[in-house]
Amino acid sequence: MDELDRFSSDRESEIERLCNNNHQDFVSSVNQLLNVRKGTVDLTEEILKLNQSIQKSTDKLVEQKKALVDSRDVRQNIDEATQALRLCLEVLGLANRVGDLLKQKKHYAALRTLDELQNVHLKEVMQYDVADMIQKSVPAMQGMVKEAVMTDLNSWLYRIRESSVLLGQVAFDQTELRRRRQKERIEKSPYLRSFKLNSAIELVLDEREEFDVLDNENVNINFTPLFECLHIHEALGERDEFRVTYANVRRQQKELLLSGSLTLSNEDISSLNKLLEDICGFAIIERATMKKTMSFRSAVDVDELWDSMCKKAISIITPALDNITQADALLRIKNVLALFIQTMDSWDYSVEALDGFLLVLFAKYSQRLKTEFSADFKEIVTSDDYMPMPINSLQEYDNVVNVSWYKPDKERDQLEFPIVLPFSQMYPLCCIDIRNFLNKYYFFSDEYFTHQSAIDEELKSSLDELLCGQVCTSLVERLTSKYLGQIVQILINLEQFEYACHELEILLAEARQSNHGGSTSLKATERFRSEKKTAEKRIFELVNSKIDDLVETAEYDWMATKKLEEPSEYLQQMTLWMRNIMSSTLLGLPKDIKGFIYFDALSHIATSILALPMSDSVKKINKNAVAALDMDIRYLMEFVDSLNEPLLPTIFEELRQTIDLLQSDNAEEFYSIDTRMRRYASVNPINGPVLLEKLVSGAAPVSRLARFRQGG
Amino acid sequence: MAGSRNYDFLIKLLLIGDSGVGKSCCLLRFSEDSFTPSFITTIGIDFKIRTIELDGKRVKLQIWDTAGQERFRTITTAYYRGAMGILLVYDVTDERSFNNIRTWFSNVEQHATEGVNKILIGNKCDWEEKRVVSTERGQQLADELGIPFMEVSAKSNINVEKAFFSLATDIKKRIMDTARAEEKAGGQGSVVDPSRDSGNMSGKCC
Repeated sequence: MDELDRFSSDRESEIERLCNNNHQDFVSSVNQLLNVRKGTVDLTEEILKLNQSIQKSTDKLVEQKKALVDSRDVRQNIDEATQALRLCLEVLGLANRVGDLLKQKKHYAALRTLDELQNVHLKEVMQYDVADMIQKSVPAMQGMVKEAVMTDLNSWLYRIRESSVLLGQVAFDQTELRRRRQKERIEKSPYLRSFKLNSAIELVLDEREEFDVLDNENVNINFTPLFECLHIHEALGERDEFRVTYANVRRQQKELLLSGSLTLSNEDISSLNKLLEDICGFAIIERATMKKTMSFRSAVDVDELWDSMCKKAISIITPALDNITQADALLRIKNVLALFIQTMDSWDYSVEALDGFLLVLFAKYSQRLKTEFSADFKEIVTSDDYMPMPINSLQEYDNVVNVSWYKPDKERDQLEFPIVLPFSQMYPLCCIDIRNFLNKYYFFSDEYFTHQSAIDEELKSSLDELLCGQVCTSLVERLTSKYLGQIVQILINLEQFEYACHELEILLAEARQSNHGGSTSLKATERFRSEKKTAEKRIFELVNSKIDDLVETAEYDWMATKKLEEPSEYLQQMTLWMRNIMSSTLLGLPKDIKGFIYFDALSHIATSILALPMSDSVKKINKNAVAALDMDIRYLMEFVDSLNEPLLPTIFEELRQTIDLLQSDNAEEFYSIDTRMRRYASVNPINGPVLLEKLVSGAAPVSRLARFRQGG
Repeated sequence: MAGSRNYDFLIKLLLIGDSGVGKSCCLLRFSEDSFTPSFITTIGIDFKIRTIELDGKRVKLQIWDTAGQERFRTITTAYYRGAMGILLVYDVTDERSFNNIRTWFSNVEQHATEGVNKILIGNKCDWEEKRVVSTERGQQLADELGIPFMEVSAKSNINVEKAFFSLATDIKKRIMDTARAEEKAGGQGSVVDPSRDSGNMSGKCC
């Protein structure tokens, strides 16, 4: 503790000392401090004063600053409002542009704009009422676009309906041109003949010819309105609806197209042309639409539409055909149909139904042809003069021979005119008709016909029908005529027709070769051949009846008092007449038939002469009468010899031997088999004795009374 | 053969004239009473028979129809000689056929038997609108030739029968006269059947 005290005392002492040392300083310091204090107060005062003045100046500044801030706020507000307005204006502008674009028919642009408006611009201004309003009007505007394109489409549809006829026409013309080109090609290289129109070869060969049926100087079908419409509906997501609508519209158009009835006449089938062109145009547009759009028109739809069009068209055409009474008109109809079929075939449409219809048409055509030609043949047969045909010049000759099937027996350059051809005029006329008839059948298959065999068959049977039913029958009917010349001419004509039939058979076979086999033999050939026999018989009949007429004028005096000096009058007439008909009426007959006729006629004469003394009314005969008969027979034999027909003299064997018997001094010989067989083999065993008996009666003395009775 | 004979007289007639005047039609009308409108040309020669009755006698007419065409002339001329009566036919609608009658007549004079009966026939007299040869001219020519004349129509059956009958009557009369004259001159066979006799005569005439 002491220490501590000591230390404290030390420290105190030191402080004392220190304090003593620093007192002065202290006082001065306090003084100084006082001075500073006073300066400080002054300063403070000064500062205060200053502060006050500064304070005064900042007040204004603050005020200004506040104003500035305020105006800044206002400005921002204005900016924002302006921006909003601008956006709105833009939207409104776009909305207006949609309207303008619609007016300019820029439908897709309008739709795009609308889309942009809805998806981009409207979103930015959604907070405004106007946006709402516009938003609400978008579907209406879309509707307007749709309506506008539909209007366009409708007017397009109307236009294509109007131009489908023209389109069809152009397509037909095009097919026609292709036919011509194919023909030219075939002329140059015949092996192309077997390639028909629309065959792969033809299509390839024709490829070089570029022609767009849908776009050329006559027709221009622009599909843009359809594409646009389709595009727009696609854009609107209504593709399927549009497809259905379009399909319906086309169906309606089809109905409209085929709604009317058809009136055809022999002279005018233009309404059929128009109908088919219309259908063709319609179908081409369908096919083109199908090809130009992806799965917009389904193939099934289009083909279905086509099938129903075909069916309907056929059902319209069929009744109209009733008015057609001329084969030529039917042929014209066929040609239009064929052109139509080929055109449609080239557009990949099925033509089966139409092919079938052509068969129906062909049946009608054939029927008409038969009727027309029947009338023709009847006319020819009726108006013929049945005289061999006189020909006065080489030109006339050529005309006749070229149309007929006739094998002349003289060379053309050896002819000296005038000449007479064996047949009568009806023959070449019928030949011309037959050729025309054949041609008319083949015309039907010209260009296009898929049932060639039907033509071949029908042609053969029709030709047969005409030849047998008309030509042959008409000729045979005329055999009742009593004019020998006419019958002879008919026989010659029948023979010519028989030959023509052979030629026709060859012709038919040739026409068939390229297609198929089958028999081409005509029934008519046999018919003509067999009717020749009928005519031959009729000639026998007529000649014999004339012979009877002449023999009836025989005036033998069976009990003649003196011998006659010359042959009987009637026989002289007979031979003259026979000679004459042989060199005139019968001249043209074929040699074999002529031979038959002579043979038959002379046999008839022999029989008739022999019948004269055999008659019951002749009771007695004397030697003078027998001598007259003998002279007549000799006369006849001379005549026969002059004919140079080897078989003919045998005809008079019986007559000759009978007269020999009557002239024989030893008639008993007849009753001896030996001599009879040797000398009188041809004498009728019953006639011989009867005549001998009459001769015996005649030799007996006759009273005048008896002679008188006999004469009566 | 007289026993089986079905006639009393046989008279042979001949039709001549241009082609197409209607000779065959006249004959068809007379022999069968029919008509054919189609043109049938006679080739060479043809004949028809018809038996008629004249004054109770059966007269068999054998009528020869000749072709008018020139090319058959040689054939037809041969028949002139046998004819007892000749019908010269023309077509009243065809001037040429009428003018040619003179030629036909001179042919007759040249080839036929002397004294043969003739008659001039103008056919188609029904066809008035086409007629070019008047009845008067026909008559005039007949008078000039000294033969009877008649206009006929085979088509309308006018006078055809009459023409043939008239000619046949004339011929029969001539034959009977000749026969009687011969009988007188010969004075043989006082009891002879007249018909039989005339029959023989006919044979000699043709």
